[in-house]
Amino acid sequence: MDTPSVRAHTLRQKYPQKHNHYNFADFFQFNESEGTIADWNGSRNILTSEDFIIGLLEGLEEEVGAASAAVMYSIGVEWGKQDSLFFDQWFEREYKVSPQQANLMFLLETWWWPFTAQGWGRWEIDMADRQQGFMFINLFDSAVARTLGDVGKPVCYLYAGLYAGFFTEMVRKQLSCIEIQCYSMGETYCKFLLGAKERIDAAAFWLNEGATAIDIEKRLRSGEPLS
Amino acid sequence: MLSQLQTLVREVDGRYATDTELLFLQNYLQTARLRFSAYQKIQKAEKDIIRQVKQKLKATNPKLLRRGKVDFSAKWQRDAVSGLRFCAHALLVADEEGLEENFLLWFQSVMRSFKAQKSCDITYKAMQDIVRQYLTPQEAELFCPILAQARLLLGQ
Amino acid sequence: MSEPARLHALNHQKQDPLSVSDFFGQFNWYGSPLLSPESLDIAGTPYETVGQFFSTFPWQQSTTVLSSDDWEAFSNDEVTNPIEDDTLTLEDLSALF
Repeated sequence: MDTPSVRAHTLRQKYPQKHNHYNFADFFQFNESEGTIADWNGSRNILTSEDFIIGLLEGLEEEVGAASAAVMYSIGVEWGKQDSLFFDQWFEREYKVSPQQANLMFLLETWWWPFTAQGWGRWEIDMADRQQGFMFINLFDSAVARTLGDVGKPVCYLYAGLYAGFFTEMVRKQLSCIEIQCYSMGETYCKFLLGAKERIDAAAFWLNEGATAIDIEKRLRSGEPLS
Repeated sequence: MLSQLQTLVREVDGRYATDTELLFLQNYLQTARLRFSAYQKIQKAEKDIIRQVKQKLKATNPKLLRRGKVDFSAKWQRDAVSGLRFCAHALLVADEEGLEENFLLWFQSVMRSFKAQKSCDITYKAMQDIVRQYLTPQEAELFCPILAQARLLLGQ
Repeated sequence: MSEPARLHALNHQKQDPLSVSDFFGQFNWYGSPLLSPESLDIAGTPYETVGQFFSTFPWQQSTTVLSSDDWEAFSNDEVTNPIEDDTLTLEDLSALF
């Protein structure tokens, strides 16, 4: 089923097989007469500045204080869920193959490319530990973290929720995600842990105790009991 | 040159460009004939170039094109032709930056998904050697660095 | 080779850097008769007119694509099909959690 503005992207209409379309000029279609921006996959987009991110985060903190982290995470989860449904459609439309039948890495890279085009950052999936039931996602140039700068605490709850929501839908299992390393804590990139709830809860606990990302990685890999 | 032209258009809004800002155009025009002739030679020789690169690949490591029952030749050929054409286009318009943003960065992620880095590394190394048969040294001096850029990004 | 290095290599024969205005001044844009070669300060003016400059390009006068473009039509289906036994799919990922 086509989304309303999928026909608004004239380059895609003309060259539907041009899979390399993620640079700014190709990915976004500015429809001046309508005053809208459509992306290659037919989603409506808006342009915002860092003020939007700051406004969102600070506004939320004003309203709910420390609970803002949980709220951002929930927003992310819902976003990831909705996006996975959208992705199901456009991936198959683009490559004529269902997500279930596709090469996993190719599928995931393809999911993230629009996010990169939109300015959310580049990522890297680390599946080295998948046999143990968890994986890491490294994020470079987090829009939230680089907006807020070094504030001494992790801030990418929106992303953590996004990954949790998306992957939960894709693997059809309840997954959680937590940021264990953040640019806003002085690191060069952000690192997320994705896994089943118990694992993520354990990691959250260790984080609270002051464990670093490296500590957590070590403990997970050594198969340390979760409780 | 194309990316630089776009930047120029943006930056000189409402004023005249300085000589320094126009230098890239001068440089482009000085190499333009070389670029055109190299581009057309590559286009004419494409089939031979790809055939020879394929032979080189097979000779270096047959497993890169065939693993067990699965034959990757057709896939490899399509990707190699694509790559060569994108590189030739970058040569024509002197836009290595555009090549990276419009093609190489995305294609790199695809190649990594399919664990084809080794294959790319050998492919683009071989391409650099083989195109020299068809180009003058000056033309090769323009084109081979572009292939090297592709090799660097896709081969890692 | 970096872009500056490459351009430098191509320009290495020049004694003095030519300003952009001088470079474009070499072109006889309007095709008007030149006074004399000596009246032009710029050494080794390569072209008399813009037309002459562009006529030195190896245009092939072709409007059709060359036969080299005539590869078998690419099938994009091949892009995503798992082609090896050890290729992971979503199902594999799901099984791990």
